[in-house]
Amino acid sequence: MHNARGTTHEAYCVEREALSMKQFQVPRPPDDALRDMLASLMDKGKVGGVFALAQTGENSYSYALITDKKLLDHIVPTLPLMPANAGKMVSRLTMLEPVKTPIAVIMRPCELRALFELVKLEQARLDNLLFISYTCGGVLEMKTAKDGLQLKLEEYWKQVKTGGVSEDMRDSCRVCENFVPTGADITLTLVGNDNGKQTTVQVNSEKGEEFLAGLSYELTEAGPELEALDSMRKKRAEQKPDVFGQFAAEELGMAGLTALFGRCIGCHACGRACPVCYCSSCHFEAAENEFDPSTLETELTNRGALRLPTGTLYYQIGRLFHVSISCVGCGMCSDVCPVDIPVASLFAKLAGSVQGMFGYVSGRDAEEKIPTSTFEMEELEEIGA
Amino acid sequence: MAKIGLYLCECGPNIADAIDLDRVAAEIEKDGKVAGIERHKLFCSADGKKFLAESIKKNGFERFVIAACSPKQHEGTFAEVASDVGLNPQMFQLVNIREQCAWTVPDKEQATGKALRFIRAAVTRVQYHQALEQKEIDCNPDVFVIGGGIAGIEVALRTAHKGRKVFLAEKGELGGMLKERGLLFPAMEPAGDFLGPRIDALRNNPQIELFENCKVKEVLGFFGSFVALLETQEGKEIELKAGSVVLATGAQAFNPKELAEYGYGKLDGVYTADEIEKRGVGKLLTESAKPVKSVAVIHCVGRDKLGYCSKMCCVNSMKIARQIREQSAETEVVELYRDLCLPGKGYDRFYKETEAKGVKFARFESVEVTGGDSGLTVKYKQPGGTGAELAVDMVVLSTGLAANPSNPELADMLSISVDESGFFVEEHAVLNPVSTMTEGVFIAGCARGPGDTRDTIVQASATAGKVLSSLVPGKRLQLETRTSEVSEKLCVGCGTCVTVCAYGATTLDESRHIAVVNEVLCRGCGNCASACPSGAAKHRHFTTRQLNQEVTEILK
Repeated sequence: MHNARGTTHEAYCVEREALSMKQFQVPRPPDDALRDMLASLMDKGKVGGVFALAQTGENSYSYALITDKKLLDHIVPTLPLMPANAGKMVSRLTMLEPVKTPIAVIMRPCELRALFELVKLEQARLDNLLFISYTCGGVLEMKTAKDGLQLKLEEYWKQVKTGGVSEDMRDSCRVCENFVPTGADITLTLVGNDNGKQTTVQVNSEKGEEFLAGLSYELTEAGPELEALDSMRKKRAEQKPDVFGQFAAEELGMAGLTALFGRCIGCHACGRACPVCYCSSCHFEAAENEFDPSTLETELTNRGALRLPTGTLYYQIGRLFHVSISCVGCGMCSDVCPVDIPVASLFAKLAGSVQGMFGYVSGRDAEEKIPTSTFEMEELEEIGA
Repeated sequence: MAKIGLYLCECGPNIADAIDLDRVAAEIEKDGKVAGIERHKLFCSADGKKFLAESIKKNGFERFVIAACSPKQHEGTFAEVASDVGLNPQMFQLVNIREQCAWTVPDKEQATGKALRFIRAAVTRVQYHQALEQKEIDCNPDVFVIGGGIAGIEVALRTAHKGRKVFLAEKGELGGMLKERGLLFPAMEPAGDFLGPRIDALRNNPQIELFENCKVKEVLGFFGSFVALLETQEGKEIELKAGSVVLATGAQAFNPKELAEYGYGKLDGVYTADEIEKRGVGKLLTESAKPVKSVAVIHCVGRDKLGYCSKMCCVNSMKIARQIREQSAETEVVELYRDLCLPGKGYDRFYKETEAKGVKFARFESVEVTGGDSGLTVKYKQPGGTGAELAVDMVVLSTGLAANPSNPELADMLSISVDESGFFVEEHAVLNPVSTMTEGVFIAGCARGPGDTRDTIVQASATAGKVLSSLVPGKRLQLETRTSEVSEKLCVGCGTCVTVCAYGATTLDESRHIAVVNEVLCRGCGNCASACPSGAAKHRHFTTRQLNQEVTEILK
């Protein structure tokens, strides 16, 4: 197949490029710093709205598009929860046409990558969006929202400061090495920072600089602070055997998949939550995929028993096939699984292999073509055409 | 359930000897899914087709399965029978038990078992076949010819003669390579005597519209309905519509400047055959500073670089040698050749006549031209390795033909390809040499590869014939029935089907944000249906249900 480029090395190069821009410091915690900055942007009429994670009640969190400045108090952009993949949410807002007034969008690196992937699939438009992201320490499982969140946050931010991994994080986050945003206009460097007191804001694009012009920040030239990033990457790599160990390809096979999805209830929540599972109506739910009498008869004749509901594994294999080239490893699928199947770990592992074959990192660059939608002459030679 | 008939073809001994058809018939009958089973020695024969038609009618079968040979060979034959008896041509399934069972499975028992699985799968599948409508469109019978050399001129004249409206675009002047030729071999007639009247006929034909000094900017559309955009030298754009496109872009003489061994462009007295044609043999001999007493004509110049024999240069260089001898009897001419290419009628005689006129022939393996005060020296190695030398006053390089450099750009516009040398690729090099992979796009003359004037005229006539027979005025074009469609309800407009379509048939409808299939361009390959994640793209004759049923039955 394609010559596999070391994706980790790629990530390093892209990081150095993404982070070696201008920056400024704000003596406030990240969420406060962002609220101030966004309020200024709204005051000056530079943005007409803000898309960010918001707290909507006790234990209630969701993404929100806010156009009333007064409601900015509700945003909690760096709170480590992901009720939905923001990339998918922005795709829903921009699928048919771009937003008309500039909107500041705050999302995590994997969400940004999902959005870029969706742009390639004609499911989103980037015009008029100002992207703010941050070096991401990962998110906690969504159920944490109702269950001791405050206690877990203390440990979480301690780990972010030292570039570590916290126990309560999603499995996907524990092994994620793409935690530095690529393609953001403005990046907060949370990893390695003491985020209780101050915030470092990096400006990564001319667009970012234009938006911030006239605000009371003083930009200084800066290189990337790689030490904490390297530490985090190293610690995350160490988590891989634990998370991925159960999916050794040679052991998995049909029997392994059957065992893994043995408690799948066929609710399709994983697909609904998946940012790159973008069909509005799922083919696996179509009537033509229902078992008809002759298939039923064949199954019973061959196996002597039939698992109900039917098609649960067929759905998972189909989804693996459909999304592995674009999977961003955000972990939404595992998070929403009501029966705790480690769906995301399997998908991320397979996605790593598939994308590695093409030297591709999904969503790394909105301009890059999805490998399955294009071809290189050498690939034709490889298959003997 | 529809009444299904099963027909088992013996294909002479081909199938009957390799598969136990009695057992097949008995087992399928036991399944109870078909209403009747009949056998015949050869269903594709006139007798077999008649038997089939009568049996379907007599038994009142609504669908049928025929176990015989490859669909590539006889699907059309049996579709016609279906139509003849009033069934929709999609209402049958041809099972290939010859190539896929009888010929490939040596063990009769196993071959019979495999055939049974295939037939059962077909009996199941055919129940899910849907009647498809044969669609037709009006065709535009007009012809758009690109290139005003002898190939393009000939196609234009011949198609216009049959009443077609012809548009001919030429990026420069009319006449192509021929306008710079002196004489035409083998008859040694002046090229102008032949070309002049043809150009006059072209200009005077009211059916033909000429666009000289015009570049083709864009060609859109499809067979029966192309839209071309031309650009004049002044930058003005002209749009024209035609049903077919003829590529007659010709070729050009190979330039030997890059080949150091010939000294071309550096040594005085070294000319290409092309230059001699342009300047005239007589003129060159008389204008030379000192009398030309000896000439070496070197063959196969550029052949290795081009990678092919240009077919016309051997005879062409003999024509030049003869002209030299005729105009200056005391001039010695030696033709240095590697292989003499004298294909076809009259050329061998031409060679003998040339020899009889005192032109000498010598064979070489490698050759080098050097210059000095006294003149030119041609050093060459003879077969067997001995070296030889000729002191001459003039060297003629017999160069081959290179492809027109604008071919790749045109090929891109028309979704066809050029080969490694830059010539257009035919639909089939042997069987369909003047048509291309894009229906309605034809090639004539040196655009498809080097040849002489006679070849070009023959090809242009063939191309004209193809154009005339495929686009008859008033005729409606029958479209592919087994095409794909996209469900507006399921499509999310991701464009995956657009990227995998090889025919440019799927596009995104921006306003509705869904993919749409152009039924005229769709060839029914099914790429879109297999790539579509939501099942919105569907092949009308290979639906998920049909395939599921078929495969399930095979794997039972």
